[in-house]
Amino acid sequence: MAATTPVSSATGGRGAGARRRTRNAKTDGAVLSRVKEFTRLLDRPLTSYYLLVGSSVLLIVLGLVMVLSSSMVDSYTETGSAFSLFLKQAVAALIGIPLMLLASRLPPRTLRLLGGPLLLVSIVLLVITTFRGVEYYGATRWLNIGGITVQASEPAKLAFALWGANLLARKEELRELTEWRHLLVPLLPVCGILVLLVLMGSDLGTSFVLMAVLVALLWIIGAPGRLFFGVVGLVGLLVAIMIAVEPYRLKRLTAFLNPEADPFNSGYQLLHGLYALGTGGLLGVGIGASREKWGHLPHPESDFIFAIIGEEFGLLGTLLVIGLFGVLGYSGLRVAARTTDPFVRLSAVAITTWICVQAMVNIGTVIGVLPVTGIPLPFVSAGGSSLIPTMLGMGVLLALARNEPAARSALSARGPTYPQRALSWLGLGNSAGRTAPGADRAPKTRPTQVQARRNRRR
Amino acid sequence: MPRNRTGASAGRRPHPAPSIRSPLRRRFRRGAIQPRIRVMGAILGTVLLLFAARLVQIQGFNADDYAEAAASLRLTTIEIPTVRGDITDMAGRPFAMSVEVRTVFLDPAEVRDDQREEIVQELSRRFDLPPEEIVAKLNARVDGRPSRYEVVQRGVPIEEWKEIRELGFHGVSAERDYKRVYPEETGAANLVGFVGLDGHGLEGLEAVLDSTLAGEAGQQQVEVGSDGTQIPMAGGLIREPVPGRTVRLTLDLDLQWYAQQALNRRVEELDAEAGSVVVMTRDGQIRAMANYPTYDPNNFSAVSAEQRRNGAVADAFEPGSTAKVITVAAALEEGLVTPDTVFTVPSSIRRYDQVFRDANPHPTQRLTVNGIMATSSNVGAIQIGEKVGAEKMYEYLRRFGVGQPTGLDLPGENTGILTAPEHWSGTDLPSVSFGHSVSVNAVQLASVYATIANDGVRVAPTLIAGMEDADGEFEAAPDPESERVISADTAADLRLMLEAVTEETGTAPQARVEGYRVGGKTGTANRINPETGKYQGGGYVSSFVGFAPADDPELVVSVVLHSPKGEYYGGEAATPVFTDVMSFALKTARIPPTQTERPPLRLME
Repeated sequence: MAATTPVSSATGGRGAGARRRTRNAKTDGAVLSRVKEFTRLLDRPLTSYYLLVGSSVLLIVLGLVMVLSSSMVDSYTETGSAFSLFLKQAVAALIGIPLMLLASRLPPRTLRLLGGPLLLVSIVLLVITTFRGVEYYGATRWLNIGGITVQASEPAKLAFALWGANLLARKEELRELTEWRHLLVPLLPVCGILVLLVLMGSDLGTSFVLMAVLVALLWIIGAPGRLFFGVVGLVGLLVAIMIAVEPYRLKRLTAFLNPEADPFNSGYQLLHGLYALGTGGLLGVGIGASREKWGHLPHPESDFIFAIIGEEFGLLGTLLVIGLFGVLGYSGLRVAARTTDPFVRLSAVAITTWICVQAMVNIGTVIGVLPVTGIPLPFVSAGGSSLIPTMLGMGVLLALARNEPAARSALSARGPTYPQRALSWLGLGNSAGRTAPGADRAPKTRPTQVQARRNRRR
Repeated sequence: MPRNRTGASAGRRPHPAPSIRSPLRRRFRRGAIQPRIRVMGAILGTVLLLFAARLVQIQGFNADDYAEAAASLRLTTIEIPTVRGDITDMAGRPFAMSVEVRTVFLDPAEVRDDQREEIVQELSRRFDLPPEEIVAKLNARVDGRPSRYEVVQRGVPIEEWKEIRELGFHGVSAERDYKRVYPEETGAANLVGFVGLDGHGLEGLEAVLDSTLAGEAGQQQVEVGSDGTQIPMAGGLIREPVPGRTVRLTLDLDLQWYAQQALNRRVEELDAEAGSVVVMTRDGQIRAMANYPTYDPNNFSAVSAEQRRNGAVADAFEPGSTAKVITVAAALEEGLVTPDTVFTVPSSIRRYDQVFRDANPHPTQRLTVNGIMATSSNVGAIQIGEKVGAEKMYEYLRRFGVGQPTGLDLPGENTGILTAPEHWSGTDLPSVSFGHSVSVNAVQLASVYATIANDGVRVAPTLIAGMEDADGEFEAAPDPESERVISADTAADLRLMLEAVTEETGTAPQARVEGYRVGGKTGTANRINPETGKYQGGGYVSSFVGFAPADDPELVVSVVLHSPKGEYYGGEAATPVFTDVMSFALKTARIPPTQTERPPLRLME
């Protein structure tokens, strides 16, 4: 690491200097000093922002590559073109990119307005899906709108995260969060409705993610610990009810424990996922060279794309993906830790939880530690309904990262960018409606060119 | 759920008394934020680390087990077809050859709807198949799913497949295969045989030489998708295919064809049941082996077993007069007679309960051994045979190859019957003396005359000249066994006697070939009726065996006709075929015409 990296930052070089002195007194190991250098590198105003951009862009690119690789066989057999599914995914990504960029430039004030309408639309779509949905593979999760199949439960996760964060933040600002009812109403009932609607489509994975978002929101707002025992009990009860209604679910729920027991039915997909991972070994069989995608592993491009990554890129590839989600989660939590704005904190945690839990459920399924639920790997799995809301959510998270106090001052030191100018002209910009514009800047003086250049380097 | 109940109560009582607070109205203490974020980070980190550990387990420690189990599901071994060796004549012209062809098949699951109609039309037109059949193949289902492999036509020429391929139909494919082709009218079907649909020999040389011709199919290990699609870039070659070896026969394609034609003509003319022609060099190499009835091996399924017989080795018959040479050879070789020894030959002679007659009644003659042969006297032959005796007779028959396997190792060979002399009854020695009570096949008979032609050394008949590798390296067949049966002088004496047969005074003056001295012998024997097992109603076996040029013989031709109607004496029935084939054979082999004259022979006292 570059030992000459200037350390002085807007967050206060004095504190860092003090830490360095005390640590130097305790240790003399070179390793520790390396670690220190590293933490110092992380300790920069735009770290969260760039880590989020980096990890999500890498995941999206990897996703596009892997969707092409894993879907080409099935696409060719079904449509005669190896690219048909990939092109759909590419179109979804092309829609998602501007949405992500736009969202990343929106101020929190605007983002707070998004949750409610989005939630309403999601609920309406979910209700329609329940009655009018298209059934694939025994689950009614898809809605056919003008030839495009949409999975309404995907945007619902983003909607719930934003809406829930906004709700609790408002209550926090109104200092209402002293009683249980303000904490739980209407958050809990709405979540219940969503979970119920999602479960109508037999989507256990998504309902689990929704509940995880709920738990994360409550956790971060500071709800007492015993509440979480209650939630765990509630989830257990729900699962028990689900199983009581359709007993086959228990078998599906426990099939993952021993896929070899029923290698042709319940254990089939899982077993072939493990085969793919094992075939990949340490370094993989090479990009595009997966064998399991040749009709052995069902849906290699969606729920089990992680297995194909493991087959083509080996342990190296799977650990990289795990690492990328780890970085993403770390950065999301870092945003939450560094802000004072309750909405920013809540929504950052909610979105991070959503993406990370979904990734964990998906990966956990593939590696055989969780039951098969049928949930896409965020950014990577094929499916526009999943990719676009995820990218939008990432855009929101980026906007929040830019809103970290230190980041905000670092960014404003660069001066407004063209999109910011366009947004402010539309009345949506960061400083548009602010009573004290430029509160975080040096109030009187514009940054000199030297300062601006230095700041840009960060 | 408590939430609902208390929620409702909260609605009904907007201002509850502080003393009875609903659980939702209770205040709670907020937890600190930063530690909670750290807890979340810790959970995230722990879970991801656990996942990473599990991945190390799957992809590191247990990877081989999973990979092996997966591979065992995907790996299959496919055979790489190899080309079967040809069967050629001595100059390399093919009797049987393999050509690379394509098996055109449909993958109905791949066929596009907009091309369906076109595919049905094109394939039905091109292969002359009913359109319904192709539609049925397109709709074929296996286990409820569209079939992936429906053969439309086998043996499609490569050129034709290229034309189909250029039409760009999805789901119409072809795979490499080899088709066995028998050039038309080689006339060697009964000898060469044919291969079955699986490409292995079923009949004739194709069956006998299968291990040599077939080669070894290569093996390739491939990984396949769940529907059997071969996965590219996976698997590998296990064994290179070994092409089969070409077998070069001693046959001459032109001669074979000609012999077949000549035989066909004569058999049909005389309405005979069957017949065979064998052309042999003096050292036992078979130049032609024609049979009647024959068939087209390209369409073997429509052929009866009777047609497929290789009668030249499969049919044994009593040789009749043609075997008298063995009697005379034994007598000469043993020094019991000379060609000029005179016998008193009546028209008939009685032995025990049986009267043996000459073919035509005649007054008692004083005939030399030459004369006995030239006139084909049964009575004379019996007298010579009785001088030889049963033991010696048997010994010479054996040494000439009678009753012994020919060594050609052809399917269905009938080695004939030669019983040991201790089992002979009183009438057997006389019978055997003029070629009855023993049986031979046509190749054995030709071999007897080849021995005489070869100055008394019998060379076992051969059919296979050698094998040729795919890279053209020729390996000659091992030399056949040879054995001196009679002295060269005896052989020369016999040749002169046999030459006399084809003269005006002999029994087969028609056997002469312009420009060459020819020796030979007619044979006419009662044929055992295959239905009753008796001579009655069995007809005759007419034969002629001869060699040319008589002064230095090169070729032996034997002609056997079973049950000809009308002219049944060998001289009349079989000789024209002999003349025909022999003159063609001499020309084909470019044997110069004879320059010498036959020395005069004394036939009578």
